[in-house]
Amino acid sequence: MNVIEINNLTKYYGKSRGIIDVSFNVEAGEIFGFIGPNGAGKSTTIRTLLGLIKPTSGTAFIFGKNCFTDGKEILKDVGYLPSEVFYYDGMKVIDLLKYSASFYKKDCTKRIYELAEIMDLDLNKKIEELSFGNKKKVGIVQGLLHEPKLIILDEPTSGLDPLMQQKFFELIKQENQKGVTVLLSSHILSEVQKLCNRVAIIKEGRIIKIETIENLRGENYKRIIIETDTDLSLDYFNIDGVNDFTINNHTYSFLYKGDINIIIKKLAMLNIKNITIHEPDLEEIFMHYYEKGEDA
Amino acid sequence: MNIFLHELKSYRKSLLIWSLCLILLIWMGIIEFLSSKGSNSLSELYNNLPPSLKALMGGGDFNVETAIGYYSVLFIYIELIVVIHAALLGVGIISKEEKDKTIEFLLTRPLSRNSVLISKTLATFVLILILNIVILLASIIIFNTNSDESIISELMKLMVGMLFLQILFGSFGLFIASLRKQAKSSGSIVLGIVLGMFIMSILADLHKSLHFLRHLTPFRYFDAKTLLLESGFKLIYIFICIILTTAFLLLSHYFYNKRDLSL
Repeated sequence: MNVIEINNLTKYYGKSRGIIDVSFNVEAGEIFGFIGPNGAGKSTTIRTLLGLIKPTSGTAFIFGKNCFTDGKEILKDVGYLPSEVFYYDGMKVIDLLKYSASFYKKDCTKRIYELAEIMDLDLNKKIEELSFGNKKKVGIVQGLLHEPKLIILDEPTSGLDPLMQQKFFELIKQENQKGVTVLLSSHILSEVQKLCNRVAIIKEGRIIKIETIENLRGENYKRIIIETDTDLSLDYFNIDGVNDFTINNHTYSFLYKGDINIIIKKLAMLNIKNITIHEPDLEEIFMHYYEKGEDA
Repeated sequence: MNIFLHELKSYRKSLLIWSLCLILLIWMGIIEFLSSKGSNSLSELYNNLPPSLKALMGGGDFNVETAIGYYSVLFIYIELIVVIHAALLGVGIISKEEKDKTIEFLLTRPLSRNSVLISKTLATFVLILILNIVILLASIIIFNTNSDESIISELMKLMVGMLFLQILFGSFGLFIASLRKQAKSSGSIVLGIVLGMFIMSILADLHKSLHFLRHLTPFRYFDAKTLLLESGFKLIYIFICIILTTAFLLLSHYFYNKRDLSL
């Protein structure tokens, strides 16, 4: 079953691009990553899903309900943590959280105190006295206090220290184990890599790849770095499967995908001083998608 | 309901300040009234004013030696202030969420935009009504007790008229803020229009050829001259007021539901 279904969603702000033809589904119970650099359209997609901005065209459904007409019903079971959190400055943290809880038809008091304990949040401070990181903690508690079935996180870790990030990820994993679906938008690959089952990569408003983390890595890319004594001719490695080729003095580095025997034979013909072959991390694959452009 | 209470709470201080300023204005009025009373100088001065200056004071042939006559001149400025309050309140209650970027929080609660707007509209009207009652009570206490004749019924009339204007301009503020994404400049636009209307209401008395203006500016619909010296409430003006208010409120829902929020 799909918790989120997005079909050909397009948003233009006047003439400037927001997102173009974005389509993907998030299945029940999965942690879905949404990766792309700043300005690629992650927040636009999420805000359109939440009904904060109106799409130019396309459809979107959450829990099978239309995001643009049934927002009120959908939001009962959605927890949202925006990338930048803003609250009413004059309020105390606890009053803000109670105000937030008052919109859901259930008693959230116990959960508020639980979450505040986990996130080490002082409930009696005023919002305006909080640092950016502490505001983010309020955001986390606010997003989870009504025990939502879908959690939407937009750049959740910015401003949190590493310890808090870890606690936060633990919390998200626990929720996920209870069956909660998570949409995690981020430009930090390592956190997506740690948490997600599948990812969509967005670039300049368009989805360029939807893949499981395993497959992304398992596409058998190798990062090969060799050092030689002599200059190699520039087109020596100009064969199929070689990407991201860089030369630094006599150090040659590239990504290779294809028949290992071919590249080994090529390498065997050279007089090599040093060689490293390793699996690239997601970061490298990701950069590769980004630099490759349209044909990716 | 929770938004409604939240708004009332967050506007407590601001309402208190507006109330105190208006009470101070009324109190200064009575001091001036009492000090010049009996010396004839005030009514002489008023009656000898050139018509253009008289227009600035409401243009009516008030007997400023009576409490109600004096109050009627003061009332023009009380009314201007409460109308500014109502209009800015209407704009602010919507646009502050976008200016302070709290709108993303509010509208990701399970709420329709309509219900947000209705709660905020109700809060606006209640705050407006409270200010109106505060002025009525302050005027009764300050003016009525210092006057030989009772002016309560006249004051009531003026306050009812003022309430119509407050609601009208409050709705106008709500409408402008619902229409526009640019939260920061909406306040200035509304303030500009309120002052424009006020100036029109003065110009209307300056020259015969400008008399038609009095039908265009709501400030002349329920002024002291009409309510106390002339025929009292005019049905046509009440009608226009209600039509405009309803239109502003309906349009504010239409636009607020349709537009992107500025995030």
